[in-house]
Amino acid sequence: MRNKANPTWPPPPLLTGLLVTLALVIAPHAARLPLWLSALVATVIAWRYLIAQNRLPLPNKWLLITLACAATAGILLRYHTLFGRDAGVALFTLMVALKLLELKSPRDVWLIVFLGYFLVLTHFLYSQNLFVAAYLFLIAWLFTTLLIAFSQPRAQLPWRSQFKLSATLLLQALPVMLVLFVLFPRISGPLWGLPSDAFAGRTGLSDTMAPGTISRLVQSDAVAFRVEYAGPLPPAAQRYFRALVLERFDGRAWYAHRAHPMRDTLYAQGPGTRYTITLEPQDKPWLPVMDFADPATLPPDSQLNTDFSVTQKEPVQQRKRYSVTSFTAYNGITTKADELARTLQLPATGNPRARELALKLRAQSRDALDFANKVLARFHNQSYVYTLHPPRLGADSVDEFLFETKCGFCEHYAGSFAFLMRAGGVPARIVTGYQGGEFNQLGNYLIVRQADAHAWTEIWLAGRGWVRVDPTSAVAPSRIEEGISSALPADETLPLFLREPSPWLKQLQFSWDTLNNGWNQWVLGYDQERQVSLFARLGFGIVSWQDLGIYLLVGVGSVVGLLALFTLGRHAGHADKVARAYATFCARLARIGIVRAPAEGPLDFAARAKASRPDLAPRIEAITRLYVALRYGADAQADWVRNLARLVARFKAKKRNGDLSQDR
Amino acid sequence: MTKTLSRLFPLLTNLIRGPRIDTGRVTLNRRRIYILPTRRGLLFAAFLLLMLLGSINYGLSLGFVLTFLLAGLGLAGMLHTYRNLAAVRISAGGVAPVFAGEPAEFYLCLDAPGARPAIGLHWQKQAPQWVDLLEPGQQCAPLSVPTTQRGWLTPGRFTLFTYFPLGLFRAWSYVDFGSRCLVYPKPLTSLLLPLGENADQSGTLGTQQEGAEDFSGLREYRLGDAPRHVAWKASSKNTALLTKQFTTPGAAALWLDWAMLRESDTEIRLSRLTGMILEAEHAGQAYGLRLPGIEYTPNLGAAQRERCLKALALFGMADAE
Repeated sequence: MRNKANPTWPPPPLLTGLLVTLALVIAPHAARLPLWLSALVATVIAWRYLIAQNRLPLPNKWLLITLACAATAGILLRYHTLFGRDAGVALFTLMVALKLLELKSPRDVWLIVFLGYFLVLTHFLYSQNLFVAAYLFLIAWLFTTLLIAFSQPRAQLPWRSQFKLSATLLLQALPVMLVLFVLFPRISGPLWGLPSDAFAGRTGLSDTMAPGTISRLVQSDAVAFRVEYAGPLPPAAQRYFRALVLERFDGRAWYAHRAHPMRDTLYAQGPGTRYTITLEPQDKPWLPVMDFADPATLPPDSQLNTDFSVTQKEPVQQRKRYSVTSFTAYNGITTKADELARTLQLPATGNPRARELALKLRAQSRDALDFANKVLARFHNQSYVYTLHPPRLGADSVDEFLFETKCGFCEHYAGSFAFLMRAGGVPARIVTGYQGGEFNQLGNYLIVRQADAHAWTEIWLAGRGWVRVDPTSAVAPSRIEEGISSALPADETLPLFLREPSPWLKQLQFSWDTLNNGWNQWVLGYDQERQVSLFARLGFGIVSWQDLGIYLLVGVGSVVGLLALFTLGRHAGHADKVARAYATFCARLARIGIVRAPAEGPLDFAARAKASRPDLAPRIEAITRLYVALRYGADAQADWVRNLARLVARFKAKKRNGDLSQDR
Repeated sequence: MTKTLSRLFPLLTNLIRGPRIDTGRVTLNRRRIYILPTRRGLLFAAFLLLMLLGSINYGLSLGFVLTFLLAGLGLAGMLHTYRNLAAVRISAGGVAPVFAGEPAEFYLCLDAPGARPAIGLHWQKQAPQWVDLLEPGQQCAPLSVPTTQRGWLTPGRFTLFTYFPLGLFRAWSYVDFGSRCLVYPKPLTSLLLPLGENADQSGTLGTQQEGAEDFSGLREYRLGDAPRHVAWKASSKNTALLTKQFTTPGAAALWLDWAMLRESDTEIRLSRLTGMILEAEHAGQAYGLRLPGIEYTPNLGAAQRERCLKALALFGMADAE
């Protein structure tokens, strides 16, 4: 297409545009890439810019090969692989950068732009929120404009028209995108094994609990899940979302027991609460539910476990939506001897003072419930403090917390309470999950954040089974009723989002979250399930892949056909415009009684019209001459069509008195 | 692959419809425009496939959105590429005679009802000429066709193509106005003009030029004209430079005679005569031409030059007109 050895190619403004766009697409990755790679990419971009500005030669091939090998080795060293999300992104970025250094033909530009589009896609591996989407689609627009700019070997259209053309192209691509998006068959789960780092860095509960685990989580304002209730919103004190149950204690941390599916029948009391949870991906298999979930309503491939937690086989790696009915009043009887034995387990040694206290209180109590209440009363009456920043604890953490520091977060209270119960012979276990949440009136759903993570306990009472006891409520009842920000002492330094914001800010937050929720539900959450249910709702019944394939072809075909009519018809249709304008002109004349005969030529007709209406003659003459020139002339100018239309629009023929049908 | 296809396509259409000679002004339409993805377009499709696989595997909804948007972009780009040629009107411009070995420049003139940027025009494998129809009005571009031998050059069809706007598709069309270019023999220079029977005995190139005294008219400036002969005053009113022409009535005309050349090879003889005509024109010496069966009486100026060169170009050819 062009001379490859041309030193002035690519034109500097285009190259600058390309470099800037690449910098914009790589920039959000910069923090994730190894520092040396980010520095290398920045250097390469600056270097390429200088090469173009000063007409320097491109670096030689051996330097490039050395650079490529060294950088690939660096990536391999850092990630121990070249595949997977992070290493793949690093490799792609490196490729783009090195390709820049050998950019000398249009073909290289196209390759770089395609790699650029691919880099846009890689960002979605990290985040797909609205801002990220808006930013990246703007970049896709820039890349498209660059393709347009590079497609003009000689003159350049003004930048404005290039941006406009690229926007037009993208807008025209929208219908095709929509059809494909809705109709392209979705499959659940990956095609091949996902690399282990695919979902790294997600915050969420873990399957162990040591002092500090939950308070760290509370620092995050990331949304854990959103809940839509079919009925009224249950009161805050009932909004306990169980994620998992921790049973084994090693003196410092609590660990989850392997989950077993529930086989016993439980007896629910009262009406159930129906709700739908949209869970953010946490790369963990558990599905938070309110106590206690009706197993019949659970989503497929998930199970209710003996400890009432709900898990699915695979970790939740994509936003998951499920509807469950829960019974907040229930009878959690279990008679499994091994379960009771497990929930009495304590390390052989350690925390002697706590054990002593437990035995003392147990001796003073009538029964297990009374014992529990005595422990809670101790939390309540003595000067225990509920704080996000408790002091660090040593080896006998329970002893230290109960008798010395007396400062703790929910995991401290739940842990020490369960320890005391077990030491006093009452089966007890830790439940972690989320409690409370914030109701978004705008979208009519509950937002539960990682900041709402909570740990509480359950004790086993003869005749009643597992009963929830939340020791935190004894220390800071407002935590349960009003949420974390009201429960912490006023002088506590809180993360910004936990402070009570002004009402309008709150409103703004709610609007934003509502928007985000819609985005999540309808754009990001459009999966196989949604696709199937959408088609079922539209009356197509259960669609198969073949059906979708056919709809897809028909849909894309008709959209492209319409687009072709639109784009081609609009510009090729000068003849139509001319004919339309002339038809209007004839119709206006017909209204005053001058009707064009079917076989009458425009010039004859004009002569007749002029003769009968000399007052209109100059205008009739002008229109006819222009029409004839456009119709039959060889060198019609582009603006003539517009002139003709304008003349015809201004041509107003009024009847004169007494000349009715004179020409008929 | 696309290259082979694009070559196969016209072959097929020629086979079906027969070669077609266009007359007057051709408007490109659906029946004349071909379109196929370029190699870059295929690479783009491969990238889209890769992006689709990535989106499926990682369950990236926005990945799907982007991939499908780009697929739509490709399709919209296809329509726009087609549209960039649609309704373009082409007519044949002129072509000036050239000497064998110089490229002939066939002018094609384009106009369109709207903006049509980056339309390439080329003949066979010659480098394309780019035309950007951005404003109303006609634009002409010279298409270079190399010449090797004298006579009529009929290049056949020219290609119009465009990659605009995205470079993913190539739309092209052919026009063949049957235009031909007269190719003069390649001039061979000789220092001395061989003098015909009526020639003035004193005449060599140099002296004859000195003797040119009487002003006889104006002609267009040619490279090599002495600056003192340029008619500056007259040129200022004209678009081109004009040179004053002089004749020497005393000096008898020069006869360039086929029979007087020693070379036996026809082409070389023609080339020598061509060279002599140029030199005589340059020197301002009137000359006549004698070829077997043709005799042009001595004269000077563009008409004489063209008449003689044409006779030489077509000498011995069947389609002399």
